[in-house]
Amino acid sequence: MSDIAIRVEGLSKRYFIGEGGPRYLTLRDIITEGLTWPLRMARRFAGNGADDRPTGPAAKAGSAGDHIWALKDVTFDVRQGERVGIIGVNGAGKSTLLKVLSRITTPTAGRALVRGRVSSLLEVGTGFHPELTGRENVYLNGTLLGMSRAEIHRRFDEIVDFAGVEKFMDLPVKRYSSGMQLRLAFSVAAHLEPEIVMIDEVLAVGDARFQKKCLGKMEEIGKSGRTLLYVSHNLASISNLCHRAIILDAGKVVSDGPAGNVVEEYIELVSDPTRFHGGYAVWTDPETAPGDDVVRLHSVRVLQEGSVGPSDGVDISKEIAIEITYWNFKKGARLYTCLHLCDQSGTPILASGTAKSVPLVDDPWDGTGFSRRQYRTICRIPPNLLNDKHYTFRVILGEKPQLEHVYTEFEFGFQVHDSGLMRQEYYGEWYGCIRPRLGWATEEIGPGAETAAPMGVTAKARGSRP
Amino acid sequence: MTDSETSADQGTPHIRVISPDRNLTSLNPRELWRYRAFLHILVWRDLKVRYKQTVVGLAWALFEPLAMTLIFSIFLGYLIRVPSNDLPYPVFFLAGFVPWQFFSKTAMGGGQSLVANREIVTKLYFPRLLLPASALFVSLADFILALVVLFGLMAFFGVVPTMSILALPLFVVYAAFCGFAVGVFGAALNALYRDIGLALPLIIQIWMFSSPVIYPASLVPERFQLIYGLNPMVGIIEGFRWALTGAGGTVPGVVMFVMPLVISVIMLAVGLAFFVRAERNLVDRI
Repeated sequence: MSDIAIRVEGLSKRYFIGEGGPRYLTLRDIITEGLTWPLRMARRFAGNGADDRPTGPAAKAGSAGDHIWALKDVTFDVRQGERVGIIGVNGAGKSTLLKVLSRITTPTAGRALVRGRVSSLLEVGTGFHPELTGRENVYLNGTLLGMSRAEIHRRFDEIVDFAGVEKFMDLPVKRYSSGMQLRLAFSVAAHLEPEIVMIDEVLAVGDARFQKKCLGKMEEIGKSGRTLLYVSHNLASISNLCHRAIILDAGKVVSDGPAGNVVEEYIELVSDPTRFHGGYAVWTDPETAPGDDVVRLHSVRVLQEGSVGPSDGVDISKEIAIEITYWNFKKGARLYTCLHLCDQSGTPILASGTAKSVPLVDDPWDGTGFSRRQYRTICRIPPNLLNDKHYTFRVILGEKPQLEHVYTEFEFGFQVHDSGLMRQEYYGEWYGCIRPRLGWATEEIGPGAETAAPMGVTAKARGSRP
Repeated sequence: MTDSETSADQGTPHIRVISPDRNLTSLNPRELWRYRAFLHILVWRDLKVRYKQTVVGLAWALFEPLAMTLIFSIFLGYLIRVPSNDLPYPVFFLAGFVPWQFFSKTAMGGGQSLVANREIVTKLYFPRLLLPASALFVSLADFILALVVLFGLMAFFGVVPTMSILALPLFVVYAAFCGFAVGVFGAALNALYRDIGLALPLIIQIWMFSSPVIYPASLVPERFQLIYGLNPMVGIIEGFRWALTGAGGTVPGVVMFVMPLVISVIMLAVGLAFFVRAERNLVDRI
């Protein structure tokens, strides 16, 4: 494994989810097992073959279904200098993987080979001792990386500078705000020159400016030939930062490949759950459909102007209709409907609803009491507003003034296909979250450069003239 | 932030294997040695934090053994007149209390060490054994200070050490072994079951009364001496007192020299074996 930094072979990790952890290791069991051990050994030596099964509490564990596999037979290699993003829904095993690879916890089966010093910044928080000062913690973390005091000392100012916490270095870390702790932790992890850096969703905290700084630093880490393992829900940062991405689902690797492709695959995976096939989701049972005893969702369909039936692929140049049907159970409820739309990287695009003066034309039902019947609300997205991307949306059904009864995940989605009408001159990827057709005009405003000082605006439309 | 198998002396990264296997061979002495700087920080932190917000600071370490000596000398030495191997009772008591405290602080500090440091245990990798080990070094510092008090008290009462003082380090090592063994075992057990954290002070208390700290071992009938000696602290305390003052030595030599060694080595082996095994899912349960 000359150029392999991390090799993971059949790694598995089991967690017990029953009360108080693994059933086979209660204090009473330890004591009884200890006390009866001579007895059992004697029995085994006496040749009582029938009793060869484990009699102890260990026998209980296998049969009891009170465990989950946070990681199951995970296998992959990471080359030196590679930047690998790990994505997956909550509970897919991403954090567990990093915890095992950074040796904080042990695997249940399989093994991993890690080459080089590892610095990890895990979701669970910063690796700081709350009683020690910021300064002492920097040294503590450095010594854990096997660095000498002199080495740490050399990088000290840089670390503090990056984190922006100079004034607080002699305060115990327990007095730091969570943002300050995170900034210092990131700075330490990034500056202590380990060969491998593992970072787990740290950008969720910290302000936008620091996030940007972190992303820049991580890019630098990658460029300096160090290996990066990066867990995030921010898909845009994964596809920008990483060469490669791995999808974990229920503890298993389900996809592994170039970051861009894998991210797309992941979007398909999460935005197209089995019940949203072909742009259509329906709940037939008014008892269990999403919602509560006031209002429940019946169906969501994505419809395309000019075609019959729902579809999850729509034409960029045609109107898209999102049809929502629902049951109202409360007589006189003043219901409203709302949509949140975001693009494939999770960037919010828009929110819209039926509330007064939000729609193009006010919905006549807005503000009136609904009967205990079934209703249909349709939202129309004009043609040529969205870009040729995958979009996901959530549905919100509520009662005025501000009671949300249905609030789904971003579980509905559709792909906007470019029919090519706008692409007469430019064929590359179209920049941006949306692609409305805007008004453009150029006119002649005066004499040329030979006769007057250069002034005037040049239209740079990147070939997007309609 | 964690480490790796980098040997500081060579500077080339080694390949580290992460696997579920855990047994006594997982105790990697070279790795422990590489983390000495970390141990140093841990010990220093404990000492510093302890005396940080105090007025007299270090004087507390001297005050505690003195106060205990005073109390026990009044009640047991003066009022009850417990026999004290022909030594002044204060010297007798303190010569037993100092090694006892070294043992009990190592054991209790070690037993609490994993739980007390769970902030870093759950977020950083380092050999977990360093935590009970740091408790050992912290109590060693206290022990040395208490030893100063003890020598002062001996000088005050005119007790002069004899050649037997050369055997003193032996009993210090025994006590360290013993305390560390209990600390290691307790630490792992306490991480899994918090009951231990609550039970340990009580156990240590009972243990103290089963050891010749406030009374001489000679009070125990002869026919029970060997059984009594199964408590390694019997030999350690009697031996420590004998080494320091030349007086006492009423227990058989085997109880003083052999039993503590054998028993503390067994205890340490069992404690370490349990610790490395428990290490596997310690972090998930702590």
